[in-house]
Amino acid sequence: MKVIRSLVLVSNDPRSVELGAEEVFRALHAEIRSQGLHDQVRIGTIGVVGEQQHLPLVMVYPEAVAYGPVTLDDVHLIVEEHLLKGQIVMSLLRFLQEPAGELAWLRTRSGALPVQQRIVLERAGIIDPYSLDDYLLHNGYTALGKALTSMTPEQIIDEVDQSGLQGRGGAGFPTGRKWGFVRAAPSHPKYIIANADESEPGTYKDRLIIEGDPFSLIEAMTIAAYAVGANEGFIYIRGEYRLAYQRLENAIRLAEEHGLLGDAIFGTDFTFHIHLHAGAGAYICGEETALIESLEGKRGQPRARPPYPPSYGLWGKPTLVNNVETLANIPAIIRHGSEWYRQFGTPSSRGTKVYTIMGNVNFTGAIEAPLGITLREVIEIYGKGMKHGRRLKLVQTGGSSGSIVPASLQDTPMDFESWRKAGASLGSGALLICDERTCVVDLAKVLLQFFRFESCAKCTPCRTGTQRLYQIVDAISKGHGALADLDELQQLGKDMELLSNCGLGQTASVALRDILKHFRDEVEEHILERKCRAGVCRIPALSPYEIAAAAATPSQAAIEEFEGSTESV
Amino acid sequence: MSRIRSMEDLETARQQAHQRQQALSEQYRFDIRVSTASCGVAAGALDTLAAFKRLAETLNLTDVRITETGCGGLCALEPLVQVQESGRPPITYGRVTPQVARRILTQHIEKGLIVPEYVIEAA
Repeated sequence: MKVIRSLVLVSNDPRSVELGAEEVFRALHAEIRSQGLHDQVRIGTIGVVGEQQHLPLVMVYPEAVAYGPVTLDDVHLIVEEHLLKGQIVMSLLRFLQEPAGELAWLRTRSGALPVQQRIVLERAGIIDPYSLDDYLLHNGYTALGKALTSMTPEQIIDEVDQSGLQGRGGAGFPTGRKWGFVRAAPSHPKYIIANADESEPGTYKDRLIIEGDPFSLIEAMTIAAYAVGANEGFIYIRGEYRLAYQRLENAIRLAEEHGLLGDAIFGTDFTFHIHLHAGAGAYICGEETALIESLEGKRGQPRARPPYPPSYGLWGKPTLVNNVETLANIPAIIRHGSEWYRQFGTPSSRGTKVYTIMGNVNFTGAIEAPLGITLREVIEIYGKGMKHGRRLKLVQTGGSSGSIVPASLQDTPMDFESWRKAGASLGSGALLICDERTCVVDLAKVLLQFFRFESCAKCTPCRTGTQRLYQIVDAISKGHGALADLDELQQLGKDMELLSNCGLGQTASVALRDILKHFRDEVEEHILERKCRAGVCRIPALSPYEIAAAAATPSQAAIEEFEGSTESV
Repeated sequence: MSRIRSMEDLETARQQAHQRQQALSEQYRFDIRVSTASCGVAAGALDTLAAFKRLAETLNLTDVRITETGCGGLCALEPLVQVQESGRPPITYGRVTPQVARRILTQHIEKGLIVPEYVIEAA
C-alpha cells in the first residue's frame, strides 16, 4: 500500500523563483528520488508566502515546519534529516509571523494551528498569566494609558460606538450605546460589573480569556469605568472557576502595586477599585439582574424590567454589565482605533468571535475568527471534519438556551444579522456539533432536564412550564407520546416565551421549537412508529395486550363510517 | 518596578521588563512553557509540569526555565508544551505526558533533537 507520509512544498512566487526556488525544487525532487522516498513523499509548490527574508521557503507537512531561505546546499540536509530520520533541521527553521495567501490557507487545512484572527485571545497561551512583565511586553496597558492621558470619556464611548462592537454574551446589544446610557444616567455613584458567570453549558471562552490573560480584563474594566464614570467595579465570576479566580486575584494585586488600579491611576485623579465575587453555581445568575441581586447578597432571582441596569442596577444605581469577551475587545479598539476594528467581520457585525467547538468533530477546542465565517468552515477547517466521516445532522449554538441549526444552514455566514434572519441566534459562541447518531428527542430531553433544574421558580410560566415540557418529551422518548402532544409543546413554549420574567424561561423552549421546526418527522416517528432512528431512545416494544388493545380500539375512520351507516339506516 | 504615573513611566516599565526578560534568556537557554489552564489541568498538565521540574533537577539541567501559560485553544491536544531555545523559533508539543516530558528533556534539551511525533507546530 502506498502511504504518503510527508508533503513538501516549495514557494514559487516571482521573488522566490528569482532567488532559485525552481532549482531547489528540482534538487529536492532528485534527492527524494535518490533516497528512495518518492513513494512516501509528495512534492509541490505554493504561491505567495509573505515574509521576503525567508524566501525561497520550503514547508514540510504534516508537521507544518517552515524552512528558509533554502539554498541548494540545504536540500540534502532537509531530505536526510527531516524526511529520512524525522528530525527537524533547527538551523533552517523559521518562524512565520504572518503567513499570507496560499500558505495561510494551506496551514488552515493541514497544520494543527489554523490561522485565526486573534484580538481577544491575542495573548492567551503565549504569556505567563502571573507576570505583569509579560503583559507589558505584549502591548499591555498601552490602551489604558492612551485613554486616561489623551482621551475624554466621551471620546472613548464614541470610539467604542464607532467600532460597532456588540455584546458577546448572547444578546448582541451595541456596547457603545450601553456605555452611553450609563454615562448619561443622572444618579451617582455608578458601578461596573464584568459578567464572568459563564454558566451556559459548553461555553468556556471567558475562562480562556481570564486564565490566559487576566490583566486584559482588568485593563478593559478600568477603561470602561473611566468612560462611564464609575469608581467601583465587580467581577462576578463563576464559583467553579477557581484557577481563573486565583489568577485574577494575583493580577489585581500586581496592578494595584504598580499604580495601574486603585487610587491615582496613571498619575491622574481617577480612582477605580475592582472587587472579586465568586458565584455559587446557579445558571440563573448569568442573567444580569439576577446577577445584581446575587451581588447585593440576595437570592439570585431576576428583577422585573424595565428599569434596566444602566439606569437602575446595583443598589439602585446606574450599572454597566458587560460580558468578559466584550470587555476584552476594548483595549485593542482603544489601541488601534475603531477604523482598524471595523475591518474584521461583516458590515452588520464587526470584529471577531471566540467559538468553542465541541461534539462529533475530530478537533475540539476554542478558536477566534472574524464574525461571518460559516459553520462549514468551522467544521471543515478548524474542527478538521466530522469524526469517522459521519454526516452532520445539526449544530446547537450558544449553549442550552441557543438554537438548533440543521445541516442545511451550514453555509449561512455566522454574524448577528444573518442568523437572526435565518431564525437562529449566535448566543455565546458555543458550537455543539452533532452527527446523525444524535436523537433530537433525546437532545431536547437533556436540555429540558437542565432548564427544569435551573429554573429559579420565581415566575409560574417558567417554573411549571419547564417541568411540563420535560414530562411531555420524556413520555415521547419512552413511547407514550401522542401527536397532540406536539401542539401542546409548541403552545406551551410560545406561552413561556411571552410570559416568563427573564431569559431563562423565554429561551428554555427555543431548542425544542427548532427541533419541531426542522426535525418534526423524526419526533413523529417516535410517536407513530415507536422508532428512534438514531437508536438512542429505548422505546419498548408493545406487549401482546397493548397490541390487542390497539387493534380493538376502532380507528377514527371506522367510527365515522359506523356513525354514517347508522344515520342512513 | 515602581508606580506608573505617566505614559513615560509605562515605557520605562516596559523597558525594564524587557531587560529582565533579556537577562532571563541569557541565564536560561531554554524556556519551557506548560499550558496550565483548566483544560490543560484536566488533561494532566500539572503532572507534566511537576515531571518537567523534577526531571530537570535530576538531570541537572540548569539552563532550563519552566513556566506556565494559559490555553491557546487547542483543547484536543492538551497538555500543550512550548519549548523555546533562545534566539530560535518556538516548538509546540501536544499531548505531553510525563513520559513525553522525559523524552523532550533528554532528546530536545540535552541533544538538540526534536521529538517529531509530538510536534504540533514548529514554525
